[in-house]
Order: sequence, then structure tokens, then C-alpha cells
Amino acid sequence: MGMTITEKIIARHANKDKVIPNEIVEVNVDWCMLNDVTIPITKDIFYNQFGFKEVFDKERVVFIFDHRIPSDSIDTAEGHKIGREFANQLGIKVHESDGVCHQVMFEKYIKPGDLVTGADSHTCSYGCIGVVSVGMGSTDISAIMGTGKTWLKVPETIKININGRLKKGVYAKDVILNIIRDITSSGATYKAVEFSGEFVKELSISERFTLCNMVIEAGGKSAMIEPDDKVKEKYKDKNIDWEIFKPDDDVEYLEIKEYDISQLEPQVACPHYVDNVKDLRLVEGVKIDQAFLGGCTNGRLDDLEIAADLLKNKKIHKDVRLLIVPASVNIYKEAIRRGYIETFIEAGAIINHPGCSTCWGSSIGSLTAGQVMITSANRNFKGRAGSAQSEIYLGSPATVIASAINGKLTNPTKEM
Amino acid sequence: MGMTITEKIIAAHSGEKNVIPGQILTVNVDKVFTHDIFFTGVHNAFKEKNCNVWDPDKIIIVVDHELPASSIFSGDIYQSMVKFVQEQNIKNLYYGEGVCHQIIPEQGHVRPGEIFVGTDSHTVTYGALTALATGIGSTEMAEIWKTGKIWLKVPETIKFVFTGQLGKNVYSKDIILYLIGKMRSHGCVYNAVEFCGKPIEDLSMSERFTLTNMVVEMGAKNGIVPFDQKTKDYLIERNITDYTVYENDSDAVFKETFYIDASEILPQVSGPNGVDDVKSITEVEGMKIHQGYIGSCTNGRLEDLRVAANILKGKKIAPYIKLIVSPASQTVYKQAIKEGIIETFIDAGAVVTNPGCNLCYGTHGGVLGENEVAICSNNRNFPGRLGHKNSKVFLASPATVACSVLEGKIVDPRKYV
Repeated sequence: MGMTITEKIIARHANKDKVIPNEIVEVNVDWCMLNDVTIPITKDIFYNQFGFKEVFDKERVVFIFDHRIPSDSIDTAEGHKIGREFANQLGIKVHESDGVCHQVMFEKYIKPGDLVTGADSHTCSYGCIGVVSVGMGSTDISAIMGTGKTWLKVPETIKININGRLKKGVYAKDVILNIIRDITSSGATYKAVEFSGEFVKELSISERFTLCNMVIEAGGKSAMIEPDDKVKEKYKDKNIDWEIFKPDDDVEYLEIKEYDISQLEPQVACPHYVDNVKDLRLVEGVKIDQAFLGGCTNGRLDDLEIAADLLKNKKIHKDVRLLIVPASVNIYKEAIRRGYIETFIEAGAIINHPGCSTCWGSSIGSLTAGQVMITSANRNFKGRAGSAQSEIYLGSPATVIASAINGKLTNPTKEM
Repeated sequence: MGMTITEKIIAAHSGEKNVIPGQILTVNVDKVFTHDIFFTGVHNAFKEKNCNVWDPDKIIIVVDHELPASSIFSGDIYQSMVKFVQEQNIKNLYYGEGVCHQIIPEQGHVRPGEIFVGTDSHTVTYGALTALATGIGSTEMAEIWKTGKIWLKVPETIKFVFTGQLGKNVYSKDIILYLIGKMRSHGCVYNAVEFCGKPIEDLSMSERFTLTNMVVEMGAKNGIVPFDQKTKDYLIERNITDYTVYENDSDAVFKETFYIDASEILPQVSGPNGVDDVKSITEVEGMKIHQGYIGSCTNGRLEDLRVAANILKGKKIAPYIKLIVSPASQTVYKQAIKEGIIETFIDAGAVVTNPGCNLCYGTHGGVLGENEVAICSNNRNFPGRLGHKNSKVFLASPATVACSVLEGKIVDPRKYV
């Protein structure tokens, strides 16, 4: 029996010729990422429980402050101080102002064929360029920081073939929301989810990122898209070793699911679960108080471009606050150059420094009881962005912006 | 007996021909504002009066302190504000446009000769436009919402006359810190403070706002910069031509007049023990810092960002040091984008927040932890103001902040001329 891409990458990192699903193997880790929320706990485990003195490789452990920047409380400041001192002691780099961890890892570190661990659920995003990447808890992460290794149970792979051409106003975000609606939050528990099909081939890497980012919301262990020419193009000039793995011809998937998205309508995940997905038309008209565009799911340049096109020479609804947070400083700078940021300000939006912002809900744009937000982020759990009596809807950037203009959930085609 | 500018403005608003210091008078106010922090207090006091506001066009409401909502509580205030302005037909509600004291003059809400009150200490800022502007409490504001009037005791005026010329990389922030160091926090309690002389005439409007912004830190009731061509130009840019200019009578009586040679003023640093704990840069140079902050109604304007960006251009802030930049308004932010200033900050490693009070108010935007030391361009450094009660905050000009974050310690900006 042949191997899937995910199995091949795991085998390579386990120094084995072959691995099979459910086998437990020890693997070498290429990159180990931590963010400001998880660093302070890790420091204690790393030094006091494991007794490590230094990291396995100073170049391969990456600290990124993104969830609470700039610090929003004394506790946060203390946490950042701990993180900064920890990094200083270990001699590793801290990204204090570069953007959301997953976007920064994507822009600066990972490459096809890598095996990456991160102390954050949405680490699964890196499958978009053929990387096996998994989110882990702080104890596992501490062990990896000290040894460069971890153990993994090889996941079974579910293959999702997506074909067809999207209608106007429908995006990759709608596709992944629709898949989560179908398979539910537990539909891919501890499975590798591999996306393929004509539709996926047509997607930009950024859109593939959106698909892979949300695999965790169906319980997936990791996500995978076979790298193609678009990925090769991105890495061709990089002076690093990278490798593209392909699935064997005789590979057996746990399951192959087929989706034709030609008739798909804009989707929204309704309160308070990511898999509570409905066709937007069924909830159109729900009044909103706040809209958020950003996050690792949909805070990239193509997302901002969609928003800028919709907002050009328009004003957001008077009762709505629109918060826009680019996913990284590179995206922010390019958005400035292209005039998107100016368009957003003219429309009445508030722009903040790249970071997790409202998606994480600790400081910026908190919701009070009774308030409703539409967001391009990936989670809408009860109280995620403030009061437990607030409500969060997830949608595509276009849906977010169309709704911000109209003060209520709105089909983006109405603004096109 | 002649009158000062402040006395003349009060006289004109009270219907009296002549007023004298110490006299208590009821005056008509021209415009008022309240922001998100005190809105609830004013609103509650106003609701007890069971009436409508005296003039909806003269009331301004600003959301700037906790923005975007930094807690569930701050989100709640915005909802009641929206309801209130809709009920009372108030059109001037600013959400996310920037710090109140920046946007109110910037949007043309202040004219020379007017009386302007707000529920914020730094309302004194607008004295740079030769208006009488002062901060008041919430219950007083509720009464003004009803009547459009307030009573005032006519303040005595203290005059600061400057001679000489400011040195390179010495700014109006250094002038006002220097004065606060001399007068201490109580040196001008309930006095009008007037600035004059060639070095003041040489200041841009932006620098004048910095000056008047901080007069409350020495206890002053209001600050005044006399009207001149620069004031006029600032108003013309906002299509404001209809106003009254008041000048001091030649026989006006001042409580005290101080003469200061501006060329003697070095870059100043205030802190960490209160705003009036002011030292020359040479006494605190080399102090290790963890964070810098450029922003606020004191020094978050375009000129301030330009000064800082010129210093930071092509450089990186020191390792493990943070720099937080909060433009004072969306207008400032947009222009800073156009001039490449924001890109310079980002490339230097700064975090650029949305316009608003942010860290100066201490609820978010770079809150300090225990024992952290920061150098900031804002106006207050009381214990715990910007975070932990055992953090230390030094106040200085944007130039001093920018130079300091490059080296991770307090640096004399004259080195970077």
C-alpha cells in the first residue's frame, strides 16, 4: 500500500522508509513556534519540570507575540516580559510586532516538506504549501524545544476533492465553512485532511491557507494540499532545501469526499459553533454592531483587496464599527502602498497593528451583552470576543464588508 | 484697569463690560464635549433633569479612550451613547476618529474668543487658538447640557515671556516640561497662563497645542497663546473666518510675569515621581528603558511623527525594546501613511495602533508590567497610570523618545541632530 503526502513527510522525519496510519513514531521537528499566550507557561515547564538549559537549535525555535500586542493589561505586560527574558536567555529571536504567528511562519520560516509544531491550534494552516504542521500543548512544545523531537501517531487521511467554479460573491472561506457544516466539528478528528481537485488547483496559496487554517475546526490533526507550480514558483529563488512530496498511486485514503461547489451560496457560521453553518440568505438582515476583517484565516492582501474594492467611495453603516487588522506587517505595508488602508479609513474603519486582535478577544473590539459581530476569523465560540451574551457570525471578507456597509448580514453580491 | 485676554473672553460671555479676577460670573459656553470615560456620569446626571439638551449642535461626543472597546464594559458605553445622540439629535459623535483634543480643533470646532468646556483635564489644549478652554466635572456638564451656561470665577493671569531661541532638537514639549519643573504641579492653581515672546511666535500651531495641553499639569485653569498669522492660517484651512480676537490691554494686570531665555532650555525629562519631577536630559541620560510611546493629544500630531520618523529612518529599535506609536487622529494617520512615516515606524520595529488615547490612558495599547521603564511623549506619568504601580514613566519630546528606543536607554536627542 502506498503512502499519502502526510505519511511520506512523517516517514522522512522519522528516518523511516515507510509509516502506516495509527503507527506511533518519533519525528524530528523542523520548526517549533510559540506565541505570547503560551510562552509563559512553557518557560516554567521547560526549566522547572524538564530541567532543560537550552533549546535544541536557536534558529528553529520561534517566538511570536501576536495575541496581545500591544500589551492590554499588566498581566499581559508581565507575560511579555517573561517571554522576552526567556528568549534572551535562550538566544532566540522574538517577533514582537511582525503579525499573526501563522502568517509570520508562512512568510519567514516554513518550506514545503517541513514538519512543524506550534503551540496554537491553527498551526495546521501550513498544509497550504505541503507542510505537515500540528498544534500542540505547552508540555509537548517544551519537550520539542529541548530535544527537537516529538512523538506522533500517524493520522489517517481523508481526501476532499473539490470541483466546480464558484459563483460571484462566493469564496474559499465559504467552501471551508460549507465543508465543516457537512462533516461537523468532529468529522475529521485526528485525521489528516487533504484537499484536491480542480477547484483547489485554481486557488491562490492565500486561499489554500484559508482552507487549511480551518481544518482544526473539524477536528483535523493536520491539513495538506499537494504543492504545485504556484508553490514551486514561491520557493524557486529561496536559497534553502525544500522538497515536494506526492502521494503514491496506490495510496488508500480513509475516505474520499466529493464536493461540487458550483451552486454554493455565501455561507456563515452562526452562534455559537463553527459547524453551525447556514446559507447566508437564511440569516440575511440580522443586525450587526461590529465587523472584523483580519486574522490568520482572512487577513491577507487578497482579502484586503476584496474589502477595498467593496469599500471604495463608500461609508460603513453609522451604527457599525469596522475593525481591520492586516495579518502581517508585510501585508500592512503593501496595503498602505496600494491605497487600501486609506480607502478603509475614508470608509470609517479603524485599522490596527497586525496581530490577532478581536479574533482572540482579549483586548481590541470587545463585545458587550447583546452585541453582534460578523468576522472573517475562524472561531465564534460563546464569549470568544467579549460578553457571553454577545453573538459572532463567521463569513468571508466580502460578506463581512457588505454587512458593515449595510449594518446587517448582507449577501456581498449586493455590493458588487 | 485693563483686562487680559482671558478676562475679556469671560466678560464677553457674561454680558459684563468689565470683569476682575476673583469675580464669580455665569457665562454662556460656545461648545462642550464629553468622551467615553465620563459619558455615563454626565448622562446619568442629565437624565435626572428630565429635559432636552439646550442646543444639539453645540454638543460633541467622542469615543477615544477605550477604543476599540478594550473591555465588555467599554462596549456598553458606546451603545448608550448612540441611543443618546439619536434621541437628542446630536450630530457630532466621533468614534475612532482620534483623540478628542486633536479632532476637536482639527475638525474646526474651536474658534478664537470662545469659551469651550469639556469633561477632560486636557481641554485646556484649545487655548492655543486663543480660546478659553477648560476641563470640568460630570455634574457640571449635565447642567450645561440643559442650560448652555456655567459659572466661573475669573482667574488671575500669569504671563511667561520668552526671549532667545530654542536649541536644535529642543521642542515646545521641553519648554512646557521646563515650566512645570519650575512652577511644580500647584504653581498656577486656578490661574490663566499666557505664553508670549518671539520663541512662542516661532512655534507652529502643532507645537502650541503641546504647550497649552500641559498647563493643567501646573494647576492652571486655562492656557493662552496670543492670536497671530499662524492661528489665522490654521483657521482658514478649516474655513473659519468668523471669530473675535482678543488682545491684552496695555494696562492689563498680571498676577506675575516670568522672563525665560529659551536658549537656556535643554531637552527635559519628567519623572518618574509625578509630572513636576522634571530634570534636564543630562541628569537622566543612560537610564535603561523597556518601552517608548509616541502619541496622545500632547505629541501625537503629524509634526511629532515626522520628527520621530526622521530619527528612526533606516534604523531598528534596540533588541527587546518596544516602541508603540499612536497617531492622534485618522487625519494624522492618513497623512503619515502618505509621507511614508508609518512604513518607517513599521520597518524600525514599532507597533502602530489605531488613533486614540491608547497607552496614555493606560487601559490598553502597551500597558506596562512591574518594574518596566518607559519613555513617553504624553502628558502624565502618575504611579500606575500606564500599567503596574511599580512601573516607571518618563515624559519627554517625541525626539527624545525616538532616540532612546534606538539605544534602549534615555538619550540626549541633541546627539542626533
